[in-house]
Amino acid sequence: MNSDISIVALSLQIALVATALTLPLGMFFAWLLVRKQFRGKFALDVIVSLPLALPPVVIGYSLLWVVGTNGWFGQMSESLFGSTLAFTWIAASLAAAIVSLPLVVRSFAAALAGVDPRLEVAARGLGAGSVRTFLTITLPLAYRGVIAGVLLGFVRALSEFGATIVVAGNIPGRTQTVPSAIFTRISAGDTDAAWRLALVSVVLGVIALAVHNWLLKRTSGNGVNGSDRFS
Amino acid sequence: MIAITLFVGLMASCGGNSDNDVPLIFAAASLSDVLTESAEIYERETGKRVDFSFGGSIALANQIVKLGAPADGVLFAGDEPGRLIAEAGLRSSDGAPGRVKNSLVVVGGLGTLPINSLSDLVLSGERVAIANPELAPAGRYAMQALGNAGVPVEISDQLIFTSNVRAALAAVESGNAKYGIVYGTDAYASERVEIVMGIDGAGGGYYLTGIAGARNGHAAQTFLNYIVIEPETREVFESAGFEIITTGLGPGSPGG
Repeated sequence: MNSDISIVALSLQIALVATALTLPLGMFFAWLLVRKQFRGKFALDVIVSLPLALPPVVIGYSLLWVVGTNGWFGQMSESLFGSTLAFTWIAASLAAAIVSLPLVVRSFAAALAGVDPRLEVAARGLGAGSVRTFLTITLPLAYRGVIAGVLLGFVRALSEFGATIVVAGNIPGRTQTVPSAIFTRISAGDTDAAWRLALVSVVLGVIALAVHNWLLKRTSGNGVNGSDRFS
Repeated sequence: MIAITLFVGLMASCGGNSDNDVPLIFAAASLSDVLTESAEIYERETGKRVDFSFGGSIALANQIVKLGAPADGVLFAGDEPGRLIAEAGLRSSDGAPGRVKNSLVVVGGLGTLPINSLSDLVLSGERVAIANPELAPAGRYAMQALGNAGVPVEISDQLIFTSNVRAALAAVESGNAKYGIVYGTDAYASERVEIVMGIDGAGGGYYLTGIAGARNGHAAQTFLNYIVIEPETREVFESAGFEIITTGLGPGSPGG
């Protein structure tokens, strides 16, 4: 039981750091895709969404070739710090961040698209800069959708398995997350312990999705935007 | 932006990670119970901790050799993973004072009748779980045993490959495979399978060494020496069905 708690704690830590990465990145990409017209927008959309269409094991393997001993970043960090990020919990966070980014961007984009651009134009007309307009007009109007997107990214990060086990391994106490611990326990035939952690996953997922759906429902009812009309 | 994040992460992982001083041993899945118990004895007697990463030996060896996984010591089944480590120049010069050996058996679910030869598996037409020969030596031994016994090639339609030998045992325990070819030690430890046949001359040794140049390579070697020398940890291995052969300190033979 004690080890169950530490496995869940490490999973939460990995997912929280992943979420901290996807929040600013996802917001930036969503804002670009919704509010800006530029060359290569189509390509950016495809690249940002690509992790959704790839087997997570491919993402993990690609990431391993960047941060591992064979990659440019790995070799640089090895010469600077004497170690690489491969097979550390940080690598697990990076993997979870990449896998959850498309979901976060899509949620954020839907939330931003629901904000009337005329309000932003008005703010700009009154002298606010683009950053100030975003922080004082766009974000407050879209915050429920944004929080919903953060939650969705968080649960996806929490449930990441395929990319994580390739780039971070499955080392108890260091990189073993709830899904990889379940995999180990299934492999070892330790069914009771596997089901116990599976139940934890279900409970965490249900809570996060319930809050997510509740937030989106509130968003569609507040009259400011017309999209995301879930009923 | 991503590069900055990577750097911040890297510094964080270097700064506050107390696990850096604890040796990390990569070990065959078949050893998870005995090694976990041995580590508890080791910590109680010496006050020193060790961490493990358990999996298929060949998969783990490739993680170390090809991908730079941070192992300080290894305890692998079979010759192939040991050869990978030795050829990469990662074998510690400290040498090992002994070897660990295992045997191979055919298991079935509770109530399964004994069989007389491996060819009976083909006659039964039932599914047979073995570890994936590309990932775990137990699977390779199983394939060798089938080949040596002259089992008809039709057996290949019945074989189910699992990620490691424990998973093959689990497949039999859960009824998803009628038979499995696993280590004798794993079979003894399970209350939900029956040994329906022993396979003479099959199975093999484990390869143990500290990793040369690893941060805690010597500490890992100290633990590995401890488990093959100390009576209390030897008892753990032997009561689980393993055999420990003491060879004395010096350059040990590379598994076998």
